[in-house]
Amino acid sequence: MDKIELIALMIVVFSIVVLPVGGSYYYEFVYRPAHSDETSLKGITFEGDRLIAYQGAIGWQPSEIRVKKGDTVRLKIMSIDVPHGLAISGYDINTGPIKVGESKTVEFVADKAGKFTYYCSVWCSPKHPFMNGLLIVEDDGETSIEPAIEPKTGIQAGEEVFVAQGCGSCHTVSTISGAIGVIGPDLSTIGTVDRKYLSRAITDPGSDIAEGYTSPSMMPPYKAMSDTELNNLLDFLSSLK
Amino acid sequence: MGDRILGMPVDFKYDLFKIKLIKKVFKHPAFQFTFIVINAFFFAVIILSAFFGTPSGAKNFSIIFVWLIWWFFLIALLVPFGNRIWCTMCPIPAPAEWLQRRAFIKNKGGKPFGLNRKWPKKLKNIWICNFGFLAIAVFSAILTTTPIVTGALLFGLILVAIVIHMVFQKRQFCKYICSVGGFLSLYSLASSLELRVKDRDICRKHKGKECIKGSDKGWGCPWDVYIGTLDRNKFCGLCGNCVKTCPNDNIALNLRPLMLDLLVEKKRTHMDEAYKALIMLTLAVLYVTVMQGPWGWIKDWAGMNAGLQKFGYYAIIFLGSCLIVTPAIFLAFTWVSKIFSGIKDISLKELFIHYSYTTVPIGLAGWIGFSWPIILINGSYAISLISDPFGWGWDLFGTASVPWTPVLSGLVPYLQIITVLFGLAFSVDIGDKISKQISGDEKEAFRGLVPIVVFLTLVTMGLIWLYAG
Repeated sequence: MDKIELIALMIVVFSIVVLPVGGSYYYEFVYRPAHSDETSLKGITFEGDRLIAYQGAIGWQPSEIRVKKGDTVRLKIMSIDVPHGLAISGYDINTGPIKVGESKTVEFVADKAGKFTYYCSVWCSPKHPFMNGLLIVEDDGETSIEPAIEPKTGIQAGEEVFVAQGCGSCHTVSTISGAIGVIGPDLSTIGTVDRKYLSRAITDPGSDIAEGYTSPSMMPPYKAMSDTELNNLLDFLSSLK
Repeated sequence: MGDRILGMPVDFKYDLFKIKLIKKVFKHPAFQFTFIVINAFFFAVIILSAFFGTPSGAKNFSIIFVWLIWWFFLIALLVPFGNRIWCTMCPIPAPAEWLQRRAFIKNKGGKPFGLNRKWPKKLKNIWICNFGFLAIAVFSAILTTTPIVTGALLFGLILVAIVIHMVFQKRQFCKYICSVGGFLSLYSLASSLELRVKDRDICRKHKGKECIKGSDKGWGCPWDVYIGTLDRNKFCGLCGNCVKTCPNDNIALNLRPLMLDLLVEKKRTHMDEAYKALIMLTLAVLYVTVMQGPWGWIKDWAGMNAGLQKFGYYAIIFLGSCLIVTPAIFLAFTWVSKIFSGIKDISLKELFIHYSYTTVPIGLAGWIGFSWPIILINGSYAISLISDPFGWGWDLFGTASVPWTPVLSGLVPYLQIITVLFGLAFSVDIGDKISKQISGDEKEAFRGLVPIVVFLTLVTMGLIWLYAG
């Protein structure tokens, strides 16, 4: 291959592969994270286009954010496919609806250590309740945090289950900041309801739909919880009076 | 032929090669390669954004830059004023052609890579292009709004081009398969630009025929065209190889009146072109109806939002209109023309083909009319997309937050109406000249023209009603 053809080949490879593919990858996954003081948080439905290669995940991308206690956290939240919104339990943050292709930036100080669920606050698809992520605020001096949630017993543990499962994206509970969903019934005083009914409503929501709500139920059945988690959740719900 | 087309002398020609820079560019060995590579970069971004960017069409580079920006520039500027200049720089067949030639720029001779078969004689027409375009067009409502479908189509065309180039000689994909090439082959006849020899006698006497065989200065015509006798733009891809290889400097790049090639052939026999003209005219009406009309239920049917059955009905109506209804209506008008004129020595079929060329100007005008709102109302999406092509929250050039802004929206119906009225004027003028070509008698020619003008006027009125309500 003579010199001119070799140069032409290099130009072709550069124009078609290196610049668009390599350039995009570098800019998105290397340059931007290193040169920005904000975390880009992209929302895409669970049913979303699987070819969109956001690090192999869908829902919230990233699905886990780690910061140190006292850090100022800036999140740029983007709706990629349909309108989403972001709410963070424990931090009283709710962006409201974010139109597709647009973004909103929230800034807050991570002044509380622990694990906080962030979830979609706008009904986006049938799998909307599963659109959760985890904000981990590490205490100073801690080098690692165990990845799994260790449920405590009782009402407090039940509240953690409620938050971790993203129930607040569809239900309102006045004592939990960020639990402001209006798709399902308000659970702020649900404690007066029979415990067995509550259990059925969680594991088989279609079996008995509350008055004023449409059939079939929009709530997915939560059968994957352990018995301990379910009992803790029921303890918590029963305490809401 | 008559001495003027809407006031422009038919023998007017200005050789753009008199401008030294233009000639130098065309003669440069890397002329076509340069434009292709620039386009190929944008093409790569289009494919990447289609597959990996946001599925929201308005925020995806592929949808906006293919179906808004490229489409408008192609139909409103490149085709009427640039002939098949898009084919010069089209990146779709480029990988296939480079593979076939085993080179990017310099012709070092040798046998092309691949089976190098001749294209079958029976397929030397644009019927495949016609049906291919319709097959794509029926899915337009989904194609032009869904990035991944756009990406799949474009990527698929690249693969088809590679296969065709590996089996057949030269650019048979571009001539006989490419859906865009199909309508370019017809509408380029209306263009104000042509590549022709200056003196055919020079070509007749010149034995070398480097324009066909190629030389160290360039390839033989990849479109299998002999420029020495070329009289229509149909299959000239403006690649410039003949300009490079001609040792006699006998080639001119002429500015000329619009619509000229519609009058070149005295004996018109191409039913594939006749059908193409009517298909494109019908689609110009259908696209405005479906995509810009106020009838939401039609959009639902077209976009499969009302279910597959309704889409099936839509497809039947869509394809039936193009392949049966419009040709049948036009045939009826042609029959009336034959009766009115009293012409006896031309069959109805021949008359149908002759007069189908009168629909080219109004068809092209209808497509430009359809494209005005595309660019003026929605073109501003492109400004934010150059900064954020994938919808990932980038802001490369600081324009990502520029909002959607319609431009001159109040003028759109007027621009559309003026455009189709110009189209009608050209159609009537061309019709008049074709009529006189068919019939030696002026009165007979006029009588034959009247029903055709009625048809053209009805189509124009229909378009104006769709544009302005």
